[in-house]
Amino acid sequence: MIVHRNQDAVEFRFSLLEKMVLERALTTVAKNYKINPAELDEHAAAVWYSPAGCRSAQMSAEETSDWLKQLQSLRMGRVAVLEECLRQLNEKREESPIKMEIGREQADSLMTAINDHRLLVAAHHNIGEAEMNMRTLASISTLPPSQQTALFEIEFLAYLIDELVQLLSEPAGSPD
Amino acid sequence: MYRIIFGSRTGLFTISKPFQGGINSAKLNRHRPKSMAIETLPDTLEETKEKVENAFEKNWNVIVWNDPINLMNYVVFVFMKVLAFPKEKATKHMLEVHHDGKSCVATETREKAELYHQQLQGYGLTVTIEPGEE
Repeated sequence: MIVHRNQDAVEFRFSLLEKMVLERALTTVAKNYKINPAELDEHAAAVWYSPAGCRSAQMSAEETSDWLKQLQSLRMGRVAVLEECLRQLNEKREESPIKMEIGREQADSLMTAINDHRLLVAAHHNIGEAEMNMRTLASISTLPPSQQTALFEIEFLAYLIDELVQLLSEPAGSPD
Repeated sequence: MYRIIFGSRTGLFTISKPFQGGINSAKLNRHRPKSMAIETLPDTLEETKEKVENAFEKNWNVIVWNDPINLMNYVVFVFMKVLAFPKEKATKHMLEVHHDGKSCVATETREKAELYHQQLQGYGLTVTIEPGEE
């Protein structure tokens, strides 16, 4: 992955493999954002729509249901940006690597959606503190293959988030 | 219809409900045998007064909990964006979450605490809100 940040945008250049990972992440997230929280698989529901805060807030079942619907609307608001990113990734271009340019106004939605996917992958593959703190290939190789793949995916997506946080943290229009 | 009277001696405001169905229930009670008096109104008023007072009281803590997946700089960004914290304050709370397992990032009215709760959870953070000490 090559990243170039200019004044108000960030341009990513991906290898085919990186593009495939990101494409799968964005497709999964966009699809799950459209699903009612009550109908989501248990992992997605647990990490995105945990009602723990509603319980501690002593909300009634009806209030909790309304609150979760609002939270889903918040997430649904990101779908258009994800679809635009997917369009760019799937644009038929002669050149390689594959480019994706994200403007400042789209960065927040993309970054949060990617983070949501990291949370989802971690929940699906039971990745917790111990796995996230593994720093050597030797220790990672002790994990089952599916956990290793998930961990690499989580780490790769972290680099994207890092770039997007930096873009958003700089004042608008600041030089590279 | 409830009336909210500001500047009451008993506090910031009180709520009164002088009429029910167009009849002054207090007057009505005076002409009833004691056993027939309508006793429900004062309870309702007290409950409503308590609810309104609670709604305006800034005693709801917004707690952010540690998790191993969210990145430190991402959490700092979210605190700055949602809670309008300067970077130093956002970093301080992020480190508190990281080292102590949780941080109380705001103490607000219930309504505002619920809003923060929703926005922070919308960013994927683990959040609860709870009433603080009276």
